[in-house]
Amino acid sequence: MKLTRRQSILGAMGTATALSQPSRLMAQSGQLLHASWGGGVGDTWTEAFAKPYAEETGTAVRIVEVPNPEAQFRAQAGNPQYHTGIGTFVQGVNMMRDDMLETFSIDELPAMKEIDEKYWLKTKDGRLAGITPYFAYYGIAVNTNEASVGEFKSWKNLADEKWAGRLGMTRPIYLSTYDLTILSKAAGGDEFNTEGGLDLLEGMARNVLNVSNSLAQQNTMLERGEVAAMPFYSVRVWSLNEAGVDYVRIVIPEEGALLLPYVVVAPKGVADREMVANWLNYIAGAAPQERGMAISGYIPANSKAEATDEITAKLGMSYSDLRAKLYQPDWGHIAEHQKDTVATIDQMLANL
Amino acid sequence: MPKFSRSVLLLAPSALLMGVFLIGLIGLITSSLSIDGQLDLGHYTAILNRPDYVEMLGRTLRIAALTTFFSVLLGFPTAYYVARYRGNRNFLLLLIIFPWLVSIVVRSYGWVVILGPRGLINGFASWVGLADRPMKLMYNDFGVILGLVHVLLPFMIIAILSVMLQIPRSMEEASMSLGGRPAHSFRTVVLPLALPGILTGITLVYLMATGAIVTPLLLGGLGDTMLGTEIFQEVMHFFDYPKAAALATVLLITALGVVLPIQIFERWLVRRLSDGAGQ
Repeated sequence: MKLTRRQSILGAMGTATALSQPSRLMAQSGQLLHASWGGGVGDTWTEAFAKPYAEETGTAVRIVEVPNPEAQFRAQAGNPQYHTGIGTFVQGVNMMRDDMLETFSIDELPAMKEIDEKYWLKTKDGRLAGITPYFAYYGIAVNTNEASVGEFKSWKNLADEKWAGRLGMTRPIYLSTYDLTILSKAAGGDEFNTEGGLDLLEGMARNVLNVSNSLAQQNTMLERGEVAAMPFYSVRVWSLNEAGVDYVRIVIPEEGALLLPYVVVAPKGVADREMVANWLNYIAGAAPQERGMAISGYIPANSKAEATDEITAKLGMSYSDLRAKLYQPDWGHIAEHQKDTVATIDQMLANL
Repeated sequence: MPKFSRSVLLLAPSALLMGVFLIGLIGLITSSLSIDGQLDLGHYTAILNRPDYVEMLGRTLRIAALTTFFSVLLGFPTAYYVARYRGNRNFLLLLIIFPWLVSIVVRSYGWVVILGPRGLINGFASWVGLADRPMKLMYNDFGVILGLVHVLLPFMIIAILSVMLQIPRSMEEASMSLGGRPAHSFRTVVLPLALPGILTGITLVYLMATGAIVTPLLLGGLGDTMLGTEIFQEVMHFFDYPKAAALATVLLITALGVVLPIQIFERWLVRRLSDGAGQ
């Protein structure tokens, strides 16, 4: 068979069109697409949330691992390819402020009534812009081969000169939201008054060996003892401990640790809205959150979730005792000022 | 097929590539000059008014220049050796490009294992009692330059080698048969003829080093941010594309300030060498 030039061009155009469609077709084929960070987070979502949900409801949820779900939502604004995605609370606030999120009434997500309202991501008119499946906390991770847990009783210890070259630190983007907030609290201020926190942050920065750029790098530095300690996520230490690295411990200093809620959001104009609401309501429930805790140490946000004896032993306390030690700042204020705070920290680091 | 049509067909892919590149470049510059839809230089003045950004630009250019210098220093002898090798040259070429089979993240991270506080060198120094505290061999400019030279050296070697292979060995032999010592023959015959390859390598390595992201992120220290990593942060974390575009344009202009004179010099040199060959 001999193809004419026109047939060849039409064939090529057809092929190109077909190749550009799969993601769109997948988003419309009856299964839900959920954007998640990779590694342990994606696995947790598959095992604790997606698989049981499919078994209970018959609706398949595909967990798609991406480096940054927020970036996907922003790139696809107006033409969403994902039904839902996870983000930090600050990312949720930023997307909500930019009117990028689908909102729901409490009647559509009744399971949210079991979650303390201080963890809700809601619009000014009281609609829910996302649900909070769980939280982690930000404490001080210590390699006990290099330092003792007792040497980090306070966040202020991180600024002690004796740790010169022995600490790790994250990048300004996270320093601005996490480290500065809890250091400000430790210095007697809070997210509205960060002057003392900046001084402590500067002191800590002087002791830092390097600024790490990924969780994997931070994990490795702690595990290898390249740094003795660093502000770090409870869930990462949990994973290290579960992997047999029992000499890395997470410390909650006397001033408390920073509570880090996560949010699951749906992009504005999401397809299959009713299915999405059902999925979100399921995520807000106690049972999947308890499974998530068992797999990766994320603390359930649902107040009816219960810890097994084994989990209580691993945490060293009950959920309620733990929650009492955590500081929940005004994330809306932090998100609103984040760019300016990063600029301030960038300039502070440049002048060290 | 007529010769003209054939030429058009052959040129079409490169024209398409150039077209897409130019559209992207115009989009980048336009985006950097726009605030709320209005023509505005605000992004540029904001960048130039921040001392840490100006310092970052200087650091980026300094590190790129040093990376290029050391790449030439290591790349030229390697390329010369490969070009003059009488055995299986393809095997040596394979060894040179072999690192490209490994992700840049893994290659950069390999240095952490060697130079880190608990790395091989510090471990050995501590074991033999040379140092009671780990030496800071990385997380500073040195680490970044080392990592970049490691990553970019193959580009330099291949650029130089492509020219070296065109220089007949008989040229050196002719020089020596006329009384030139090896060093003299090398300086007056091989080096000038290899210069276009060196300049191409310099251009490639310099440009890639100015825009490096992964290596400075992994091996750089506190306050050692380079412009590429800052652009990455603006795009990936703040989604501030106009500011990232302005930073990229600043980087482009400063890089062109170095590369364009090199290109002009290279053309002049090639013309001069061609004239010499003609005589």
